[in-house]
Amino acid sequence: MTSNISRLRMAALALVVGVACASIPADAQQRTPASGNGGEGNGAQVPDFSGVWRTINAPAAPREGTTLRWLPAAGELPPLTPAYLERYKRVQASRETGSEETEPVARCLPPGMPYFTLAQYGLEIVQSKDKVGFFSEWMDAYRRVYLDGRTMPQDFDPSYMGYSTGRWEGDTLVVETVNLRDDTVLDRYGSPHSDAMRVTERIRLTAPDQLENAHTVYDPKAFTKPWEFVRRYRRAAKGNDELHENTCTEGLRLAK
Amino acid sequence: MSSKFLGIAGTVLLLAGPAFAHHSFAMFDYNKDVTIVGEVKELQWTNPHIHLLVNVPNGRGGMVEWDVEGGTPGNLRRNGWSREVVKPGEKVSVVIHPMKNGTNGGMLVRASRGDGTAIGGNAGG
Repeated sequence: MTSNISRLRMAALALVVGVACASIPADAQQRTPASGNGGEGNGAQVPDFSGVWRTINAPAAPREGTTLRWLPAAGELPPLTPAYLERYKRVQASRETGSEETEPVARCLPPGMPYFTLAQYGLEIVQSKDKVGFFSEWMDAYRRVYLDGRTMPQDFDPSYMGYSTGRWEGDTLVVETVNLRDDTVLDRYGSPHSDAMRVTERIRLTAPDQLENAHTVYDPKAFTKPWEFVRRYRRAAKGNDELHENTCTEGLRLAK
Repeated sequence: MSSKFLGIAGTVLLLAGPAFAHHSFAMFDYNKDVTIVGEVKELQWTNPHIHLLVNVPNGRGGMVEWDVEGGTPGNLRRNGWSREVVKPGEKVSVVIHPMKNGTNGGMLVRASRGDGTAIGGNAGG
């Protein structure tokens, strides 16, 4: 029997595509969401991202410096400073022994950002004028993005998903996420970050049924430069557009 | 004997298939494929990952239980699996990435029935 701890493994895939180079014609679908849902940005019609989306895979490739391969195990190392690169190497050394001590998700803790969007799982978006919700099939994790112009209240507690606000720039939803905890990992490889991390996402439809999310992750303490990658999605086909529960704590029930 | 444990070590496996659940699973040796052949004891159709328990002849007249950990029920459903895709007692052949620590377990790569037909779509993990 595998050890009980193995039952707590969490599934994920770190898909790091690298720097964005998309030049897909932006014939993005424009529609006014029904019944008052969906948004109007500055009075103008904005795209509606609502629906279930599936990630588009990138080719598998192992990351240098580790034998661990995720699926698809593409990945460029974040631009870590020498000090954080040393931390990263300690993580890899631990994992090479088979240890999961460096993976908070294996203990059913939330993935946090940007691990949330690097996961290779279904994503459901619910959009209204004032808020966008991102629900992942992975870990049943949820993010909310405020579009109503609010700013984060003072002394708000840092959180796994952080505090996200968004604004429309034409057809693109620009999301800024701050106030992230420093005890999460960036990706499937356990790449570290600091408490100074923040994330900008630029989300747009590149075709009626294709979504693109270009990330820029800033961490002036841990990175030598911003870390950029793009996630792409296709709209889930009818009949395959339902997400299933992924309750990590069910694995805790099995642990004795 | 087809029901013998067959160790096929050293096969580097790079999967580029569709998105199905995989693990943060440092505990598995991704550089090895091992095939186990035995009878299904139980399919635990559970979150966050399924577990396929297989009784494998130990070559000395007894059986040993192997714990094969797969992906999430949700992703596996989309790959042709279900909670009743195999029945207890059914003969199966399962390719796994074995445990690094040598215990009888591993990560599901793909599985087939006694007659050789694949269980689920392409790679079943």
